[in-house]
Amino acid sequence: MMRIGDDELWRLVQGGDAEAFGELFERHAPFIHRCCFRRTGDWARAEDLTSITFLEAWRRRDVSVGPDKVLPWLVGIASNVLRNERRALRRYAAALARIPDRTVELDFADDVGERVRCEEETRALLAALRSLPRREHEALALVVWEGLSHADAAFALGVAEQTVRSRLFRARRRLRKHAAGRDASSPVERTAE
Amino acid sequence: MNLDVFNPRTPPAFAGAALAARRAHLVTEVAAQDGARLAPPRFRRRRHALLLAAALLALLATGSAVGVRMDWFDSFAPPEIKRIGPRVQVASSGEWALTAWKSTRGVCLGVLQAEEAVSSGCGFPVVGAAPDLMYPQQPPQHLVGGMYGSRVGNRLYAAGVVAEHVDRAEVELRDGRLIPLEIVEAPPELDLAVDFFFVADVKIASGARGAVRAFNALDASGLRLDRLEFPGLPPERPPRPSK
Repeated sequence: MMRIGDDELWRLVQGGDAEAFGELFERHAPFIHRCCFRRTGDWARAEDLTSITFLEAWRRRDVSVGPDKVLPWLVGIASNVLRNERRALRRYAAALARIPDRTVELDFADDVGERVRCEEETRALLAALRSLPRREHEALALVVWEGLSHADAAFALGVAEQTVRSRLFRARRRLRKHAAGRDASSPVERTAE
Repeated sequence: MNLDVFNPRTPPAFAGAALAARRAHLVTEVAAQDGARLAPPRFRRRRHALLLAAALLALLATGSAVGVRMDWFDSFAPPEIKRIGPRVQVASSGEWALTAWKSTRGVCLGVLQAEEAVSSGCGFPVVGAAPDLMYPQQPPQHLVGGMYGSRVGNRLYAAGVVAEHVDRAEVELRDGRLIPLEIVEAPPELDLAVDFFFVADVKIASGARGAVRAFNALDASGLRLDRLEFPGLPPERPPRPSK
């Protein structure tokens, strides 16, 4: 069967097609999960936040998303969910409670060890970024970590493209200054195994 | 350990059984009920007799505000109001931003445009807000409080505080428009059990004075939980009869 594009899939979702929604989830959940994981450093929490992002997208399915903007739009929802995590978790607590026993997720195919290592590393990275204001952190995460274009990041965050550029510039400058103020082993700049 | 902030390690992909289980769960959820009802209404309507007791100190800014800095909030606050915690940005909208801090007068809000102070206000008696140490009173019963104004005359901003269990909020303009508000959580460093709302750059026909009729706090189903009403403009005086 020919794979249909996101825009067509979104039109089906808008018509209430739950299976199309499932397809959209399968297509973009890994990306959204990565965004959430890199902002929380917690694999399971990122899974819940990914589910919430899509439940929220379904709730707002009457929104007309522009051409080729389904993913950036989902990223925008994820950013809002991350910003208001406590509220989002509370809002969807009942839906999350209906997820089947989560222990089945940890099957032997999963590289649990790698996941744990990644959690530790991400948390250390997030600690090193505490000096960054949230807006700059968001811009850095979307453009540098997730590889979104400036235009898509701007769309996701609901700001002008120039604003994303300036937040990135400030983030880089702040991190450089922060790193310069520390010793050579600063975790912000160091790459070590 | 790779701690390169500009090139972090790519985490393992969210895939396999976990992804399939989540997909199945989501499809079941959305097929079973309308998405809007996924968030169950959890709070019953609470009645409050008095809604107009909210303390409001809104300083409408003018062009003379250009060039002032963040410390404007400290230097222009009445001397008896002391800041007792960090000032933290809680929301933004374009070049506008909302900051909040705790003070001896309760929670304070400060609005900035292009990183310049525009207005500030303190003492919003909302459930969960910082206590008012200057005028100790009964614990606040209100679920919404806030302020509004404009900087250039026909661009309105509105900012405020809502209790944590408020799901939605809206600005009711006197011209009949209802503007839904995004509610944002208080950053942890504020140590406040309230949330915030902020909207800026709303086009209005003339000056901000009297432009807002009310702020409404709603539950997830849209039921109004509380309402902070603002007085309208006083009626115009009839012209004096000429002698």
